[in-house]
Amino acid sequence: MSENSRTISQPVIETINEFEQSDLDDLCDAADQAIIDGNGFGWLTPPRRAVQEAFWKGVLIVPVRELYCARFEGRIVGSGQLVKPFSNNEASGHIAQVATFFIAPYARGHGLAIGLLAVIEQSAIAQDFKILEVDVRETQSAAISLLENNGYERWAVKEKYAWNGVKFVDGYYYKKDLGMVEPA
Amino acid sequence: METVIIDYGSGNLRSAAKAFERSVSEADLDMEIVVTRDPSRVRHADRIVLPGVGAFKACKSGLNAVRGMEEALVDAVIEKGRPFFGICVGMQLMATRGIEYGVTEGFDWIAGDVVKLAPTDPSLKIPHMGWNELSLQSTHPLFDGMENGQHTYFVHSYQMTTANPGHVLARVEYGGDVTAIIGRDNMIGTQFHPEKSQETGLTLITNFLKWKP
Repeated sequence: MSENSRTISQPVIETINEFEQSDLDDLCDAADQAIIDGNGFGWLTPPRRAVQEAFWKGVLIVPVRELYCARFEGRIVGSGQLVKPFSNNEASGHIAQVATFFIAPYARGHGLAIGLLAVIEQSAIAQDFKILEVDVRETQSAAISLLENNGYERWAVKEKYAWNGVKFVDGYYYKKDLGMVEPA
Repeated sequence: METVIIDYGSGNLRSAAKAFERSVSEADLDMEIVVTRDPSRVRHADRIVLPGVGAFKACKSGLNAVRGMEEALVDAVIEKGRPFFGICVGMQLMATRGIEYGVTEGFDWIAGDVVKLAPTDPSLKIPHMGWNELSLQSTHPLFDGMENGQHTYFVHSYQMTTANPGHVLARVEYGGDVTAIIGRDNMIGTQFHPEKSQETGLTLITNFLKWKP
């Protein structure tokens, strides 16, 4: 090994049940970059850090939400949520959703998005959900490729789905039959 | 030995601190990384890092709001010649002026202006965001172990233009030449984020921590 070589940690996908402050800092950093890059799950510009921290802490206390994070080189660089139906929703109790799914631009190209999506899918399967749904802006080409290459079917397009700060963009709605996925 | 990362309210410094701590650990350096807003600590530090995100004017205002900080920086960097590393807007503040929301005075350590990016290709988006290939313009000691074409992570809408082309140590191409690294004497600045630039960023940080200008 040369003086400048080092061991690169393997990417890790994990569930987050509580935040270490350093992990929350990293998650907010990653989300800031994703928002600037146009993948802001609602935000057009990065919110004040206190606002974003409150958002992520809030995710952890909502009982139907599971938060997953992608870690690279030991630091959180992206996240996604499995959003489950409330218990009163018996008719659609078989459908779960993926939300706030992103990998920071500086951590792309390492297979983290595929891994993160697979972990969320496996959690849904383990909890006996049959369908996984996700919706994205038409401009999120990387996410669209990821979904379409992983068995997600686009079943609807919604006009004026989102305002991107300049114009309205459409939204693409995808679903996946989890019966097609091999359990881990 | 103490390297200080200056906290003046410009974004999250933990990310930068972690990267520097990792370099210290991997290079087995006898050094402490301290995040501080205490000018006296900056004045007595062995090495100084000035990060910064957002607008030039806001960052300069934030720095000015910390009583005695700019004087401590001048004392440590200019008078005592301590190694200095500016990151993103922290680098831009080394310029004479920032031309963003009016004209704002910088430190004037490296003569030049910070101006809006103007890529010749209109399809290139601003901010310039993502990975880009460094074109090294010099054989600076901080480039030990680095090569032309290595990628670093950028997110910025403004860039520094220097009066002396020799102060530009590396460039990238983004619809024209964009300043990526500046430096002279005991100071260096990167427009990109070394703390988010994986291997290349860690190499640069480690070299800075070992640098004896």
